[in-house]
Amino acid sequence: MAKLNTNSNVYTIIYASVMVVVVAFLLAFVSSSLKKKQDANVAIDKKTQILAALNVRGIAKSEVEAQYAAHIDTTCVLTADGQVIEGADAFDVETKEIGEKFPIYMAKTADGQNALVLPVKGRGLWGGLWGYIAVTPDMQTVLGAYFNHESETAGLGALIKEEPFQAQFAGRPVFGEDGKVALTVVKKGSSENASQVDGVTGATLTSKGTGEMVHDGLQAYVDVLTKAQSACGRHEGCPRQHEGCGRHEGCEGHEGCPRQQEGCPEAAAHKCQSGSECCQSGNCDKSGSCGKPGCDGDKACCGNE
Amino acid sequence: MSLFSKANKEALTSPLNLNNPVVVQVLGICSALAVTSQLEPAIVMGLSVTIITAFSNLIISIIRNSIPNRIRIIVQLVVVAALVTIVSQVLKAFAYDVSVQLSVYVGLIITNCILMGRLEAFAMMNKPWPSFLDGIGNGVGYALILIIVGFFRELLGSGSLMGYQIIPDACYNIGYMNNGMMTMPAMSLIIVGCVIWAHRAYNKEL
Repeated sequence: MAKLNTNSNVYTIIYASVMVVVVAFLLAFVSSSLKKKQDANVAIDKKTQILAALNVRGIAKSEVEAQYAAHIDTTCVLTADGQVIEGADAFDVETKEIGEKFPIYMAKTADGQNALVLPVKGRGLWGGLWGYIAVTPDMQTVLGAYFNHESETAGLGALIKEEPFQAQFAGRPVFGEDGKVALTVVKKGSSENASQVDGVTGATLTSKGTGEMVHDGLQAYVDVLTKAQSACGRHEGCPRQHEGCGRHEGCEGHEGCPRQQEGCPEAAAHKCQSGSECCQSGNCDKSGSCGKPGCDGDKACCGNE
Repeated sequence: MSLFSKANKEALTSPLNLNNPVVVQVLGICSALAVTSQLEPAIVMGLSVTIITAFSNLIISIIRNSIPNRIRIIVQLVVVAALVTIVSQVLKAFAYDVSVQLSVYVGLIITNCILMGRLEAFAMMNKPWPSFLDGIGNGVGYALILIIVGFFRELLGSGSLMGYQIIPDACYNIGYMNNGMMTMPAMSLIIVGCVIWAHRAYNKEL
């Protein structure tokens, strides 16, 4: 057999085509056969990150599922205009969707405090950043934080992934004196108030990106939750909505809910109209006074018989 | 022909010293800058490059006679890229923590000049087994330099090794400070320069 001319055009083109097809099939096969295992790893990794924000750190891979179940109570997903997406699990919202959807985890920290875990995303020097911030249910104070990155510089920007940087966030107030979100990251040593966290030395742009992510991310959640509360308020007599999503304090459903107002001594008390007396129980009746127990606001029993 | 004939031993050991890819051939400097601010990523990168160089050398050497001359660089690149992708996929499924660490390096490995250099200079004209040894030798030679640079940069720049603090707090209390310059990429060039200096002073024949 004559020796194949490996320099001919036909041979070169066929060789290139065959090589590309073979490699493509090989990669597709490897990728699809390992996908299930990889997805499981990714899910466990995400749960580990959420738990780290709740200060549950350093747990073995095999315990992650159990710890996650123990610390996360419920989750929900809000749209940008404050509507709850029915049946959606916050865990299924991917990082790239944050900003269109607002996933919220209602959880408990390592020492048993109630917390909301809010996922945020941003941009660092080389690539994307993301993080989970645990705040108190009234969103006033940070309880813990976790940050991670795609490709920040090892030893510099990558330090935002380490516990010493993240531990600085616990206990910081979220809001400044003007009532807006003030929590951010500043150059080390130039912090002016408790809401400004020290950045990483030598990683100015990563620190700046992290600060923007935290600040803008939390502000977006505050805006969405404000919308969610006013959306609920449009319903007849709806109370202050639970921080988080759709869970109302002391009332089922919307119709006939008591309207809780500030100025009543106890959490359960409410006023039916501005300036009226504080009701201890029952819903408001049609005339805007306190109804009898069991009154749902629409029925005749709500008259003062 | 024995597995470790003189020529084969030469292929394995010469890159460690007299033919070192970093300090003699001055290849792979770019990645030496990027990953050496700490010791751990330097070790990980060194290991990965060793494995990938060895196996891409092996594969290219096996198919060397069939590769059309005009597209040989593309063929080499495809082999390297496919290999790196498969390894990172397998790691992602079976050793997730390692793969998260390596994800940053995947791009650096594919475009590493040492890989292309060894494929072009050695694997294209040698049998598979010597090519494999040459790949291991060059990978280890590269790793050695990375580890030396990473050792000094982490020790002087952060006062730690492998993330553990080495310089005691007492030193900081009497006024010792970490050298922030060491964490900058430029310092790794200077350290590589010092290593080349020491290496040439020791080996008169270079």
